[in-house]
Amino acid sequence: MIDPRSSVIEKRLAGVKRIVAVTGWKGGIGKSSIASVLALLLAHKGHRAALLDLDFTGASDHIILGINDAHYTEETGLNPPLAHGITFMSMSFFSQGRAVPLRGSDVSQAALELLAVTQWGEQDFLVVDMPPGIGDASLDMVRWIKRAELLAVTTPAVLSVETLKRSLALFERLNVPLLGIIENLSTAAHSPFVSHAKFLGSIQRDPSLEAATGHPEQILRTRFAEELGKVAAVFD
Amino acid sequence: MHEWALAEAVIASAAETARQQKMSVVEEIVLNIGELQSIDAEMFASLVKNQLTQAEPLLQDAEVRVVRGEAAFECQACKKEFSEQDAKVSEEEREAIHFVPEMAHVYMRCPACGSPDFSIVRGRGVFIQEITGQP
Ligand SMILES: Nc1ncnc2c1ncn2[C@@H]1O[C@H](COP(=O)(O)OP(=O)(O)O)[C@@H](O)[C@H]1O
Ligand SMILES: [Mg+2]
Ligand SMILES: [Zn+2]
Repeated sequence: MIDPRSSVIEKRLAGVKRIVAVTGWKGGIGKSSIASVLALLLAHKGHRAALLDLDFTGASDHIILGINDAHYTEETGLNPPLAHGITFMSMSFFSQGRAVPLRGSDVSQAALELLAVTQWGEQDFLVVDMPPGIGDASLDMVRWIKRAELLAVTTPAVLSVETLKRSLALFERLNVPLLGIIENLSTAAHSPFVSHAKFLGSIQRDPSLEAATGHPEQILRTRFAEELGKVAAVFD
Repeated sequence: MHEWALAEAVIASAAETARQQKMSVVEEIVLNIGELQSIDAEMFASLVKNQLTQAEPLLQDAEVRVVRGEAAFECQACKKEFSEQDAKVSEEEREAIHFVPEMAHVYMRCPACGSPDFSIVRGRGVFIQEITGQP
């Protein structure tokens, strides 16, 4: 039996100029915050920006951006809603606030389904919040989303430096281009990644981010957004 | 009508396969639609047929036939096999499953032990089961 879904993904993404896949090698390092706020910043600058939350078991972009009552519509597929200027699709639309207990292969299947039926239309940027790590699910995503460029999120921890190197080597073998590395939750004045050719910058721990959660206007005024904005200059 | 998007995927994939198998004309496409997808078989067949009239010449006259794949689940915890009927789901939940069959994991539990950790053995997805034609 032939699964037809992957044949149509490129067509679904044909109107999207650039696809930025935000990845990181574990949870809790700010991938979702960076993906969501990046989409927000791009939209704020006047770009047509879309956001796809593919971290199904831990979907959180809708919480960060306070997208509560938006809903997709059905036409020749699923049309993602526009929320705070961002064209947004997430598994949260289907799980109604419940936990999503998916094993790796089911994560891939669900992502494939969503990629096959979502009509993105014309976009300057599609930011993808990837499943954490370099498991099957992430590898499937970069296989299906062929034009994805990686935006790697890391933290200053030594362990993180090592995992980052290994993971980047893997993606390089898979010919996935690396857009850059962002260090989040940085503490030291000098990042251990500063010498990397693709290092884009660091973002400090920002205590005001927590209170801004769910409020895009407030998020845009945080130091987090300001620092990410500087990094996002690579898109201009 | 997210079925429209799936029909388009079927046609793109059928064209790819027909070219790989060096067919000059496709006579029949047999589709297998999993029960979990809750897509009406006849409606989907005519949707595909309709889109085919706009497709490349190779595909235009193909017959479209749909067979249903019954859904079956196996609990990872207690190994019981069960059906969609066994695990009672509401209309609203069925709708979410209709768009993304893996959402079954969100709404269904093993009817024997209550575990949400089960595998979908059969009955998801839309597949091209068979494609026949002339070289
Ligand atoms: N630079 C930062 N300053 C303060 N809190 C942050 C920062 N980056 C992320 N966080 C917080 O850390 C938690 C995990 O972030 P999240 O973006 O969900 O990570 P991931 O997607 O990698 O699991 C969230 O509560 C988020 O608000
Ligand atoms: Mg996350
Ligand atoms: Zn059980």
